[in-house]
Amino acid sequence: MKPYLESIRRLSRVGLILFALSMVASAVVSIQYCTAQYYSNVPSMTHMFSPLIAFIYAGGVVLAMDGFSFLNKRSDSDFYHSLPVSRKKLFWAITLAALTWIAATVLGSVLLTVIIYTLTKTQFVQLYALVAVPFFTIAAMMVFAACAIAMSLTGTAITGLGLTVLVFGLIRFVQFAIARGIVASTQIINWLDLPWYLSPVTNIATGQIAQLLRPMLRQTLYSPINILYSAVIVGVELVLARMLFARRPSELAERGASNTGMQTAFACAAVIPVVMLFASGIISQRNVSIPIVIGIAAGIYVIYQVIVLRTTKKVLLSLPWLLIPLAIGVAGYYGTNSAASSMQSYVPNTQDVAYVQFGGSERGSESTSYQQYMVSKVRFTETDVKQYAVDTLRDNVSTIRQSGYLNYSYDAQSGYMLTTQPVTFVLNNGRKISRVLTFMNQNTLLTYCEENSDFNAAIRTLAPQNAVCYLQGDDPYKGGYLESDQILSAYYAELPTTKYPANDSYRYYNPFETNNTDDEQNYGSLSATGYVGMTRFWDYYTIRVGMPKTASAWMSYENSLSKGEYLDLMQQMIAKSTTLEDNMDYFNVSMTFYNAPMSDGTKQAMSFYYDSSTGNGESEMNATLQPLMNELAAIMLRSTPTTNPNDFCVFTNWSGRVHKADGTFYGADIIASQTVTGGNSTFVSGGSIYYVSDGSVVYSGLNGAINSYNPNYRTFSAADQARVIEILQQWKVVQDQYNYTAYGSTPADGPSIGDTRVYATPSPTPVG
Amino acid sequence: MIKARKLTKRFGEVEALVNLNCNIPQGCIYGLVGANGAGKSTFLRLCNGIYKPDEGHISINGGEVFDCPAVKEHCVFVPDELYFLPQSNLNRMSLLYESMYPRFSKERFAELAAAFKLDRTRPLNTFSKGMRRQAATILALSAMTDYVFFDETFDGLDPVMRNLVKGMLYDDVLERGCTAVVTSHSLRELEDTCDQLALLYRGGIVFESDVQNLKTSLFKVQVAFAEEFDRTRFTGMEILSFVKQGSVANMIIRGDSAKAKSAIGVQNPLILEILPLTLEEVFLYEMEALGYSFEAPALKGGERE
Repeated sequence: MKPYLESIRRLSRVGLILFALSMVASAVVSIQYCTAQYYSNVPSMTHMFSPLIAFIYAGGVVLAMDGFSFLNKRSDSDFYHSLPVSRKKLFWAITLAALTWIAATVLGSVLLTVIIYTLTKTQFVQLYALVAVPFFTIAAMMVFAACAIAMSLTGTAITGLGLTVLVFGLIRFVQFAIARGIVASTQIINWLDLPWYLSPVTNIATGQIAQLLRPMLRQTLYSPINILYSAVIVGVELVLARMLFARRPSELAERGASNTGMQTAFACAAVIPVVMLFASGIISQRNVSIPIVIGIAAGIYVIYQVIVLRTTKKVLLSLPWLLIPLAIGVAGYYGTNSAASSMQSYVPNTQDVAYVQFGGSERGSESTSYQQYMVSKVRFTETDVKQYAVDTLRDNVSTIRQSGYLNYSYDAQSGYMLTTQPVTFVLNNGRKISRVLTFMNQNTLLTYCEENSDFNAAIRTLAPQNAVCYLQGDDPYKGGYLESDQILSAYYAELPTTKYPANDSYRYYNPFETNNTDDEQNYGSLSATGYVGMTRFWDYYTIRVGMPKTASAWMSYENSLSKGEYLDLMQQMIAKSTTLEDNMDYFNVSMTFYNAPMSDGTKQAMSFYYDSSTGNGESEMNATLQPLMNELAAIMLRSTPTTNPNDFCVFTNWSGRVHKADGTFYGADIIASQTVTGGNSTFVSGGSIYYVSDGSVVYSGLNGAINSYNPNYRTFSAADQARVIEILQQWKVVQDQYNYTAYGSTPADGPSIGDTRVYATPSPTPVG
Repeated sequence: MIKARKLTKRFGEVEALVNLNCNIPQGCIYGLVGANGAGKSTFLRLCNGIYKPDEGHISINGGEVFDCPAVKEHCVFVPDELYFLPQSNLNRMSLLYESMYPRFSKERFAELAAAFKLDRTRPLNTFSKGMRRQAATILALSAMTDYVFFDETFDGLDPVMRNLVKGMLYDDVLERGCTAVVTSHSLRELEDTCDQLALLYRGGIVFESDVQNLKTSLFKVQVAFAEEFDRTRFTGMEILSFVKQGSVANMIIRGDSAKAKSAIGVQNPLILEILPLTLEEVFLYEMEALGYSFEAPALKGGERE
């Protein structure tokens, strides 16, 4: 106990500094995050505890180098080895003291982070705190253990640091290089599909570095299995370090290694990362690159040996040993290619496959939907699914072998039907093979999947409503969330009564159906993010006409945000749009009409766009469209807001910067009445501002521009509805005539706009 | 008792100790003297379990020393290059010693610090070389171990402090039966301090004896005869050095001085004087006899046989 307490005291100098730095960094990062204006999702563990990522490496190395610093100086080493404490006990006293400081720092940082998040009412995954403590503690101890091994093998700080890097990272670097080579070479194996012995994240300390290079690895890095495995590695490394420490001669202090052989071994190890670049695929095996890499490797080797051995003769005698790492590089290259080829070409027989699972195309990203998470757990035992997956795998492999890459020719019909999905084949013998497959037809895949009842349930499963933390970027403590929550509640109530899956990626796809019809018309989507357990999700719920209560709540919410559409101003700008005065003047309007009746009896959402600027404002097309726009503007002035999703209605966004003939701006009085605050600056109106109809302002570099982005959904009187349909019909003719393909235009061979059976009454006289 | 049998230690191709044998009895102050590179520091480090012997063994009270806390808790080492914790003071170092040495005495520590008049709260890196040696000595003596090893520790101490430390050492030896092993280049210091002395040469102990015996076993004889004479006149005596200047010869003889005087006296010398040697002179002549050559200023210009 006494040596342990003494070691605590001895390490207190650096321990306290590291503790203080970590606490300050955690506080700063947390406060910065928690006081941000906008969140899209709860933070990942990486974001939430980012200061501790730095601590893993800084803390582990600093505590080890300080704790074992006496090994680097003769007088210090002699003193400690003269003490009446066994070397074993001395080692464990230092190690446990370092562990104490590491654990205290990690615990303190985690607690402080949680406190700040809680006090500021910022959403976070609470289980992260429980996982973070063992995770970062064990990760830091991995670095400590590597450094302890290194310090026991060398006698100077420089060689200790160098050897720490080798002990800590060499094996994992080789593994990473091989894994990268396999991923690059096979093209159908992703980082998340590698077998466990090639996965970069089983070692959580090196895995942290790997996830900086490959962010998708974050999904699996914090797994309890990886933490447990890493704890075992720590134990083994510490036992090894203890053995080396006990055997280490005191006279090794101030020397790089105990003998020339050890020095040479270190030099060979230092060269291995260079020669493994071929295996990784980072460097291709070309005639010019081989001598370059060998030259670099030899250079590193010789420079290292010159520094440590100091005599030319010894350096020259050690040169033949350079062949060993070169041989490892060659073996690594051919071994990796061979393994990749073997893995790529393996295609199981369908009858050997027990079931398949689909990991989800969004796995590894920040925006994985809850449904995809649920689907990833489904086991597809259906023959159709298994067969299709096996056939696709065989086809993918064949395509790669023929073309060198996945080369599927695109045509109007097939190109958009491709879908790439991660698939895990679980064989009857329990073996698992994971591949990323490109299926030719996503609808075919969906058809097969729908044979599985668990799948059908999964794609309609919503996350528990109380698991949702942010709606449209607002959290429960902000006003916007409450309004959005009504939409969410309506959605949760209505979805089970419809045929829709909760996630649009599980719907049949028609590449030509650019306009949604009937119940498929959608008003937008509700973004809902949150977490269940330790799984974060990000869902987008499409608001459709087919869910009227939800759509109505949505329309009500959108209308509530509108504080003034200035339709009269829009009308004035439209009128002026073909005779713009200034070179920088412009006007554009985008209108989406809902429930436009079609000739086939369906109702369709359609978008129309009008754009005028100096140059095209006086074009023949605009000259034709402008009167129609004038009339539409007048009709819109007579329109009324609606929250009925079944109404024939319009949603309009417009923006413009238009001078009058006298040189003043249209809307100058509106601009003048606004005081703009953008970022840290306050601008008096009349400067460079945008004005939006919900009252908020966006800074712009263009003086005098006005935007209206939050309109109401507006419906028309019966007479005006008929006239609007006639206008849209004329608009379509103009579009086709001038090949002006507006967003959402109907296909040439589709139904036409307007159902004259419905509107038998004559069109009202347009307002001039 | 400290026992070394065939003790060998190598550093690469250099053999620091070769087949060293010695017994250091308990309750004495044992001095170890030798030339630079003789192996004194290596021997002390082997005694304290810092180095592991390549061959042979070294035991203290019957127990092997290396990595054996049960044996090492009876030993404390004050090296030539001192170590203190960074930014520490005496109080902080006493905590370290207290945590490691089970019999560390805070009372003795306080008493010694007061006797040496050292500020226990002052950073040790502000101490002079001599004060640092005092501090290290205080800590070592406060550990209350049975064996204390000093590697050239008294070098750098002023005469008053040196006497103070010697006195404390004597007290420990007399009261507790403690054994001190001291190395030094200053034979004068060892002469006054030690009661046993060993000469270490090229990795081995060439002779060891109690100090009094050493001083009397070698003596200088100044003799002159009326007739011509040389070394052969004194057969039967072990003559380490014979230098004749004119008709007077100075001889360094090992043996009994009374017998030598009697043997020479019967030859009717004109001059016969028996002069004692200092320990330094004993060391120089013994080393010369072993082949460690040097120019002795006193013998310049004379014949050397």
